[in-house]
Amino acid sequence: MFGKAIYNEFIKIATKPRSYLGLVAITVLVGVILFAMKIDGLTYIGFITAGFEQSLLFEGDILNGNLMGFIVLQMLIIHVPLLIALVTGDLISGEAAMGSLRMLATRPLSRTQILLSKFVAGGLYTFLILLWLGFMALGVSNFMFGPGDLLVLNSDGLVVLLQDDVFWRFLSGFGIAYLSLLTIATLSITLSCFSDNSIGPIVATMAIIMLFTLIGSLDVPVFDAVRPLLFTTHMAAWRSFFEDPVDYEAIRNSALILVAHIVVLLGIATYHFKRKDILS
Amino acid sequence: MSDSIVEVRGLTKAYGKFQALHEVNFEVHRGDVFGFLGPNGAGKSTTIRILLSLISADSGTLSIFGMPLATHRREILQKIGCIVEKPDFYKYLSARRNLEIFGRVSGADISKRNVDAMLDFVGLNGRANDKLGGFSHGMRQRLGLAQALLHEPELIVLDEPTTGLDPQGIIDIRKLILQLSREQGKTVILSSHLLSEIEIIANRMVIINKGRSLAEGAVKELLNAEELVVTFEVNDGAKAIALLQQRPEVQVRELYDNRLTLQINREEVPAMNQWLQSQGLLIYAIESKRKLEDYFLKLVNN
Repeated sequence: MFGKAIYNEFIKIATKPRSYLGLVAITVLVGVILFAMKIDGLTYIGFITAGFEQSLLFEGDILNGNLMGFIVLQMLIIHVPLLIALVTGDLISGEAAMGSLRMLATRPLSRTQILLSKFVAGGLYTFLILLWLGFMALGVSNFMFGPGDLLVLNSDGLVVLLQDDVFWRFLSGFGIAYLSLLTIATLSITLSCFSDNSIGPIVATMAIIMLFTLIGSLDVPVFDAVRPLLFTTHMAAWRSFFEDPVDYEAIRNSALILVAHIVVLLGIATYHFKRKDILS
Repeated sequence: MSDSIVEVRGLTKAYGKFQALHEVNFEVHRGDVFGFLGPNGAGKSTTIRILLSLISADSGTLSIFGMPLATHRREILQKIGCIVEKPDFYKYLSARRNLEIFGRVSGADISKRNVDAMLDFVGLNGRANDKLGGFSHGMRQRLGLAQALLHEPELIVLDEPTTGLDPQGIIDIRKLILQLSREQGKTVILSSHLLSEIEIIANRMVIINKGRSLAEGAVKELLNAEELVVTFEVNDGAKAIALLQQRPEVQVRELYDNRLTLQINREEVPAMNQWLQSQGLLIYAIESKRKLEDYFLKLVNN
């Protein structure tokens, strides 16, 4: 029955028009970035390499598909949470607003099964969105610009990653990025349990992300203790795979904190949803 | 062995400071069309929501099919089909897709043939692939019934199923409920604020008001259904009263503007009509109503 409930949830997501907004938005945004880079990418690359040109000699095609993939991911990974929350924040509250939650809750499914089926379907949707972003960022970029070595500018300087050494980093980076986005999906589903209108949880999710990002970027001692515990601090952990050497300790720490967020949020959601009076 | 399907004892529920239910008790027997009667806001929907585990009771016991709902929720809900208030489906899906979705999690093995047969049963076969956005309230109500019956439940719970329907829709739903009870032996719990509806369909009932169950039993026993309150509109009310004083066995309830209201048995109405005419009175109209309304209002007002 639980499997059927998950299938149902995915059917609902797949047939809801708003679910395709994310795919369309990613396609358009990546399209715009790649078009701009194709036309005027060398100027953009010039800003990055300008500081190093006196000490380094750049050879070959720096403006390649791998660099474009990295740039696209860096630019879009902060916008994808909104696209995810747009769907996952609606999973419970949208049904409560529509009244169908009442009908669903009278079926012989436990409340936990209802919630977890939505969580699994939301997680699968998140994965598909990320997969599409990956395809657009890497697949289309490589098709348009061709492969090449990857230049990454980070706080320590410029990292040059050979073409053959890049794909596994993208794959691993996507894994951590998926954990970040799944945390967002879980947060919005949890908020969705507390609301009977579909917009509230979406707005609240974005507000929390903005607040945590602000706390994370404010360099004041009062937030020093909480900053490492905020999930937003670890949302950029995917970039660590593009350092040399890779700081696996930091990545493991980020992954654990993200998983802890998912478990705690899901626990709160289950506790509340099991006791919730379905009145709407 | 008791043939009770539903046993509710001492059910209470409060929303904050508002006490929605105080010690509600009733029992539904196998094969009953059980009327759950009460004015708007009486606590009918709250009781039904507790029955379907949509909300939890503060205290009291509730057993369905001989099992406590608290510990056997899943087994119980597999045997129940319901409409709570209005059936709210996924508007962006077709009627067929909606039924498939609810059928899939009903606990029964529902085939496409079952879905088609049920759509045919409620007269929606021609609109099976249309999205629900364009459905009328009556069509949604019929689809709600299809959803409630799809997994062939033993107990059907219908909360105000005729609300918002046109007269033909009301007749159709009532016929369908009677058909389910008489031909398929289903047990039906039907909540309504309409006295006439309960009177027509139910064989047993509980009357509820302000969260309290006021009376429970067979509809006929509770209402003495043969006894009527009959109003004769005559040309001279004062004369009619004077004449009726000669007949102390007739209970006169009211005279207002030449409208004389009597409490008599159904069989006595033609004879009373003839007698009044034989005494020289002109009868312009005769209206009758069952004592149900009086009984209900008396209970509720008390």
